Amino acid sequence: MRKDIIVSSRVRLARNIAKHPFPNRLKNEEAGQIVKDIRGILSEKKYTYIDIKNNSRLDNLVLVENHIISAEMLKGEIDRAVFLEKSTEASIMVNEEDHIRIQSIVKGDNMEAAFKYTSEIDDKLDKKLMYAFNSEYGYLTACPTNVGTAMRASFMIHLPMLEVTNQIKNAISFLGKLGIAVRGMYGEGTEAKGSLYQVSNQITLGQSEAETIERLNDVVTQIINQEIKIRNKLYSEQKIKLVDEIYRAYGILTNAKLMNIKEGMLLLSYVKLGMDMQLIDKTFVNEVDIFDLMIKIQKSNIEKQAERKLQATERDEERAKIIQSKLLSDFGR
Amino acid sequence: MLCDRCNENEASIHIKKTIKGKSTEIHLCDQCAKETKENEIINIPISFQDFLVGLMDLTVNDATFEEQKESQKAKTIKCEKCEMTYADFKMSGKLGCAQCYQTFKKQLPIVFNKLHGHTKHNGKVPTRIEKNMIKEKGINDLKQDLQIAILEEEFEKAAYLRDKIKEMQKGAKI
Ligand SMILES: [Zn+2]
Ligand SMILES: [Zn+2]
Repeated sequence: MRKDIIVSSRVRLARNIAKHPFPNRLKNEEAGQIVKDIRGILSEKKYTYIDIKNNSRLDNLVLVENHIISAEMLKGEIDRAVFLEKSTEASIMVNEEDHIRIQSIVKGDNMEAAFKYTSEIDDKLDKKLMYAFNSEYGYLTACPTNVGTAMRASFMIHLPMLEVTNQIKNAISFLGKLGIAVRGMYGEGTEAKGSLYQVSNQITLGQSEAETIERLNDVVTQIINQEIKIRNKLYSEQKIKLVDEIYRAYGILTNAKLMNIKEGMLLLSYVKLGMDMQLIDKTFVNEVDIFDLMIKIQKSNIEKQAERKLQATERDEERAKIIQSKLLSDFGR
Repeated sequence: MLCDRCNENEASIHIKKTIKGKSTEIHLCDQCAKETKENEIINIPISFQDFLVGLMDLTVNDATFEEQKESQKAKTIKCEKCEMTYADFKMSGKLGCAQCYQTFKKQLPIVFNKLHGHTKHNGKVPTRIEKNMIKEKGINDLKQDLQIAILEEEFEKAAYLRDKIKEMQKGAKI
């Protein structure tokens, strides 16, 4: 069950170049020079370069929805870019809050891989750049919340039952005291869409990278165990109600003509729960990756696919179609 | 402009709010405005920056008179490299350059302690620093050997170690 509840594992490292001011004090010329320098280091074919400043707004929004760049990246005025490396699911953002942000998001429960991939890119850049580092405070970052290892590790986890039983709020405030942050799928507040939560370390100073990951893993294991406990209880006491709920969700998803984002996320979350609890057969829903589908029904992803700007109702119509094209094997036939 | 809450619909309602003396504008769509009215605006995430600024104010409130005077003085400290003042940092929650960490050396550990519960790094180190650290560790080991050699009156060995240390220190500077 753990492997289904953990949707993805992510590591992000922040790095700065010693000689340049941080992006919040950076002149555009110098920002451009940094992009150029890093382009020189990441010159191999496997790195895809995207100029964020001159990219279309829609394409940038799609990158945000796909978790390739942060929303923060869209706000800047100076030259900025992202490099993608497909095989390791890595992206390297240049001139976000820090000069360099290296991240890797690996599907499922695999923090080791995410850490390995980001470290490799870090080592590659480290050979050519003089990082801002201080033996007292570690890697120096624009925001003091990141100083030290400058590493943020996070698990994206699916917690529908903790949410339904209202236990999630207590869990979040308790975890805050342990230096663990919980956010929604897109970093929003406590009200997560699709019952997806990003659980990440807040502390970066005084703990090694390995320790940080271990602690986070311990905490996430506790949360997951709690979620499984409620699932089991519900299964043994009210199975038919649970199955009914899941099939109703499936029924609406596969028949509705208009689907707004809130309802879509909620119903897909139920279907995922049904698949993970083996209450609904995977072949029945076309073995679809629900998390991927949740991203594909976000606003900009839909507009990108439609290749035009859509009114709210048009978007809801497209969203219903996308869901049905994925869930139904005979869709459109 | 898109709604701050759902990031989905066009915002139609604009609310000015003052949080900790800083005024922020919140933009909501009709639907979200209706929903938030029902549960008061709890779901508007307070940015981490606001949190940090609040935290630094807290530090001042908790402080003694002497410390407050010190903090008052600190506001005018300015980084030579990026021209950021401590007051700027308090406003934005962000430092301007690597040099700032030296400039605000006296003030930052309090912030670090509140945020992380620690003030000393304990993780990965860039390769160039790592090399120096190995070298330094080597020098320290040799220095210890030198002490022992002197105590045991092995002067020939001591002389050899002294030269070796000098040589390594020269190398470390480059
Ligand atoms: Zn809204
Ligand atoms: Zn500075």
